[in-house]
Amino acid sequence: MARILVIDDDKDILRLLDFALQRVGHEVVTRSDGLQGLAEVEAQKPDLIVADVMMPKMTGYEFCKQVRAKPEGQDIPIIIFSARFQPIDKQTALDAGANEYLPKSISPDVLIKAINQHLPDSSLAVTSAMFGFFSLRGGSGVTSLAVNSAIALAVAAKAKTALVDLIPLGGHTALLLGVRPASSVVTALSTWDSNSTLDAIKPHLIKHSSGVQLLASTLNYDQKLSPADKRLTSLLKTIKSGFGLSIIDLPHSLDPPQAAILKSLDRIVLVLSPDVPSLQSTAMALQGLSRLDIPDRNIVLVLNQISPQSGLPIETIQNAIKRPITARIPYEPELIKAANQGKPLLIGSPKSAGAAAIGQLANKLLNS
Amino acid sequence: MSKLQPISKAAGRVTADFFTDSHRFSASIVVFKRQLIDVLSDKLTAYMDLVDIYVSRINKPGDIVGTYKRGSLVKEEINFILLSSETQAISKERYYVPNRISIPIFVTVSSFEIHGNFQWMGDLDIKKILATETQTFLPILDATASNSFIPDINFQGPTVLVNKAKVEILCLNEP
Repeated sequence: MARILVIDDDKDILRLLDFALQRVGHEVVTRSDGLQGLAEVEAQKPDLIVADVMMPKMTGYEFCKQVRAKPEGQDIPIIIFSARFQPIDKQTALDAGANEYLPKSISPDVLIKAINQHLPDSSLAVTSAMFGFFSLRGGSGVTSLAVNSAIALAVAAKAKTALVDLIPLGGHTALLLGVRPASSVVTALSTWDSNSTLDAIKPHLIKHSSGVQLLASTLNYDQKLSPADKRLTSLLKTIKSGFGLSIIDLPHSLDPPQAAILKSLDRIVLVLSPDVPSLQSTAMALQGLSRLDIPDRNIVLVLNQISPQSGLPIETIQNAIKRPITARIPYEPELIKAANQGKPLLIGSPKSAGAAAIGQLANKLLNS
Repeated sequence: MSKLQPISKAAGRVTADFFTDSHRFSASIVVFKRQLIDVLSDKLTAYMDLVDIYVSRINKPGDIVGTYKRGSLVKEEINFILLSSETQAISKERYYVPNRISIPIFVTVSSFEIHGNFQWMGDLDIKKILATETQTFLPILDATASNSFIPDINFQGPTVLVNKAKVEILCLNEP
């Protein structure tokens, strides 16, 4: 998922592109002239800009030049999308700093293809994608979401998938999968060194019937995992290269030792529930992730309805954190049964609303 | 998925490039339910009301030197108009008529040479093309217009409407 700024004075074009780009999983911000567009670039740097040429107050060419003059605007891909369709118009746009020039007579599909070509790291290689599931406080349903998403991702991508439980002590991934681990991340780390390969991890993995392979959290109080263990980053890197998909259930902490792990993730799924304490924790988590220089586009916000009470409206939440919610998981009463039986929702109740929403989240992650 | 139509700000609005001897005007005209070629041929007025006008000089046609919300263009000063689709120029009835004959055509207007294809139904009489048609602009398809003085400056498009009153010579080959 990328954050795309679209600038055009034609409301029909804005509506159409907003729809077409959101449909393929992008976050879209629309502005109706170049001055508003420049303000948006300063306020929150987009991953890519689509701009018209013929706009009031400032032409698309002038907009390009001004974006390029800003330090934060020098590396943003800009696609000029205009009714002027002559080769000289393309050259003028490129001279002004645009990366691409497309006439408005093309279909949105062609534009989307061009956008994806210009987005840095625009398509996560399924051969090496690592997703971390995180919240700054417990009780938001992060582990349950991580477990079920791992299954949904494995099915959707048909990829070899690992689930790693980095909760320092007593993580619940094994419980939710209904497996009894004989080993854990800590025991895997105990023999790990810089020369270790995936073969050193294999004995510690438990293969679940869904195909997901789990590296569980320790259940032994004396073997508490330390996120500061430098070998952990190397171990995760090996897992990432050995599995098509890796899903990490992250500890509820943003302490500096965890920074290297967070930075190594392709996407961080930040989970919140619709209540004020969770909102506050999420705002702090976003602040912390920003301090760690985690790019905004790497953060995927998921609203998890953990209780039957409706809680805060999604609009209120989005306004408060000034970010869009990428996916919303509805309240799912079957989750309690799933946890008690050790049978994940996607296996025990695959047709439930919750399972469907998690499936959609998995698709969004794969297409992000 | 449908294409983005350049006529999008309002129904009946056409965006095009209007070329005179000295300038290129990228602008829109509200035609309501008519075709642009009919608006051009309307002899009740010698002017066309344009909106959202972007002015470029002909020697640097990519550079925009001025933008204006509204303007009035003198029809007889137009050399040709470049459109992004054929259907913007001619009526649907004419567009869908079968058995149209396509003939390579060459015309010159002041300072421009235009190559393309001309479509005709029935027996071809070259004199009729300029003299007897009721429409004052001539549609040329798959057209290229090159500046006679600076040939590197050229414009291409699916349709060009050439001002018949500005035509110096019209040449074509027999089908």
